[in-house]
Amino acid sequence: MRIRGKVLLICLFLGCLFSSGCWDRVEIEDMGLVTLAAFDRSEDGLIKVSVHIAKPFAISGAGQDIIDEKPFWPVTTTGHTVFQAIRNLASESPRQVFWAHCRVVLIGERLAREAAGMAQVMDFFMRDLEPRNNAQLLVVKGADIQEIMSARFELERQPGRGFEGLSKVVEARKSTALIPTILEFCRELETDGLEPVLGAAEIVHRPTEQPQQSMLHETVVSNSARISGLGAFKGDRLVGWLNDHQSRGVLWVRGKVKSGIIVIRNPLEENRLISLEIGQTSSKIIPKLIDGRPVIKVRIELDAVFAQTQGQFPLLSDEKTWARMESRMATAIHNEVVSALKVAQDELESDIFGFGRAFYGKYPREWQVMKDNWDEIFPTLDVQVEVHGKIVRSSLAFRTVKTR
Amino acid sequence: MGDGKISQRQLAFLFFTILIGTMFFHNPQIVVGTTGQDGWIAYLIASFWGILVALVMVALGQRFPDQTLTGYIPNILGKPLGKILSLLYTIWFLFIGGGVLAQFANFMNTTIMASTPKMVFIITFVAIAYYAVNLGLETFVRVNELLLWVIVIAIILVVTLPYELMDLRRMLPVGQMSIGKLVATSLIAGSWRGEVMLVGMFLPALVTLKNTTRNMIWTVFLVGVFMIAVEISLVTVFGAQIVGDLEVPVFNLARMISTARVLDRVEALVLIIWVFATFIKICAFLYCTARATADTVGFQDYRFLLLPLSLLFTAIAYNQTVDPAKFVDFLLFTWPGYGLLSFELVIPLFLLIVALWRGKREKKV
Repeated sequence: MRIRGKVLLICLFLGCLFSSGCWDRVEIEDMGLVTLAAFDRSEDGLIKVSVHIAKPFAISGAGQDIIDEKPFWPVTTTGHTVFQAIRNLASESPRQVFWAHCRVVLIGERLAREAAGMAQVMDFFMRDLEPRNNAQLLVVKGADIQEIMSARFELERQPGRGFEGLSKVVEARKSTALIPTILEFCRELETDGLEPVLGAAEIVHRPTEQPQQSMLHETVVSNSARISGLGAFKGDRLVGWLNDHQSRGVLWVRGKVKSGIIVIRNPLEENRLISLEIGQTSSKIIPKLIDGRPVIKVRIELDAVFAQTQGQFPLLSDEKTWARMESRMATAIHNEVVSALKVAQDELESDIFGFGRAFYGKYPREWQVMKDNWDEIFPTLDVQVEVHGKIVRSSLAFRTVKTR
Repeated sequence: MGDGKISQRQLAFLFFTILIGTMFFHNPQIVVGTTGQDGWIAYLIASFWGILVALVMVALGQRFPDQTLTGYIPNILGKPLGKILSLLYTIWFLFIGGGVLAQFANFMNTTIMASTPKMVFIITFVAIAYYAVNLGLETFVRVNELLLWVIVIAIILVVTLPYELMDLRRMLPVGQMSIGKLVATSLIAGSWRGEVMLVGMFLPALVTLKNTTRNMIWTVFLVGVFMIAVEISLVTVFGAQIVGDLEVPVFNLARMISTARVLDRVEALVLIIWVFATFIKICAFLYCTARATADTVGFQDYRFLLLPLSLLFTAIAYNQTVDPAKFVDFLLFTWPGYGLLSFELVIPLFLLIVALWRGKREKKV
């Protein structure tokens, strides 16, 4: 009995050898991992897909010399549909293209402006097994995707990692763009009374430097990319761009501001400026029906830190000056929100704030009536913005540096 | 090796696995797809249907403590009619069991193993189930006692780990759906819960019938609580719209998990749940089919029927594997009528009424 048990145990472990995935096994060395992907409409009306495939042999390990070779391979194909274009990569890539590691997806402006342009790309990402739908989504502003795919980041060897890091840092430190995942974007597409926004990736042209003969090897970075503002959608069509100022206005209303700098005039010296760093924030959209007329109240609350000043630093006991700074801060935020509202209501006519969604949450029955002509209601919607800001700390300095 | 007796606890455990097993996968998509964020209300109503089925089946079982469902149907309805109904039940077990297996094979194909033939999954499972059931009822019931903990822990992990992505506001507004739609959807959800009807085949194997009613109600209710937790987790993570779009939402839910960037990509959890639960369910359905066949035809032993029935299971499962979209169509429009509204609730209820009317109960031996 004991011997039989041992034999069974051995058989059990031997079983592991065969459980490598049946018919679906793919060896890692046969896979080409996509690290960054971009989709656009080509000039001849086809879907163009451009990807970076990681070159494992060019990614240097620890202790090795840095290999002077870019660690990715950019390749572009076209096709009549998204999936055909993707599969057409097979005729150029010697390794099976594998999508699970693609963390950033860029959408070209031409495709984004088309009706059902975004939707077909989203369908691929939601339906297919390989790609993760928590990849981050960016829309390319004013550049061809092949151009933006040529952007390099000095701090990251893989541009895919560069875009990923950039997205995180912009959201967390500056809050002037929102970079949703594919899933979040799809959710916004499907939500009634809320239009999606996407962070806008822009190309930064740098003068090409000639590599100099010197001790230090200098890599030449010609183009880089930055994230500036938002692309505003209506349905799945891109309808316009918001600059940083307006974008943060949108983020204030949506309650997505995490940090950033607010600049106000110093109440003690009107020609000098003060920087305040945004700390804790919260916002609430309060929908109301006044005589059947929809009215929105946006209530924003925040704590800020006195971060830097050009001029005098008010005495901590000078409550009146601090109160004036707080009210100036509130006005500055108010202006950001109002400028965003103005663009959204007058130019884009797109409810990127989610006011409709707020009505649906509070007045579901009235919303059923409103929703059919929300496009007419939204541009003239009465929106009141209320900002309650506090400056809670002055960080490490008690006074400012004084020049004699 | 006799057909040992099983305890109350083992029965409750077995039914927990049977009930949550396949429900966990396709059900949320259908319920949330039709009733949106109010799906949990449909689940509450479905619990009521499940409890009703359990009450009817245990009431019937208490009148005939030594017989299975297919055994006592002829006693209630008389020979010719009763035998026909018993045969229909036998076929029903066969088809639902085959369907469970077909779902599993489809799932493996659509999720991780796209090019592995379905027959590989089906034959593997039927072979293991045949081996287990051949060793007797006690065997797979005790295996389930071990597996259930793994299933429960895996479900809890899948449902709670994406906590970073949850937004409870997605549950709002509450009460958007009309009562009619909620009840109609609850019939679909209730058809899964109505699989508690199988208890009619297991009651004679129990050591004692004391507390069975209470235990079964608790089991059905707890499964309901789990499903509501699954629904809330799905809706708060994805939003009701997206859940309705997805083929197997819990699989996508598991794909979303990335806790502290350490615990990442744990789809395997979902597979564990599905593999274990399918195994137990196939065992239970194979056992029920064999018992029902033996009862209907009048054999004392059922074991020699297992081999031919296993082959039949394989054939039926293979031929039931259809396009997922068609399958969802079946779940939406056919399954309630096939499940709750006939074999699971209405027919047993009818049997109970007839038994009460004619004063039928087992003759004391």
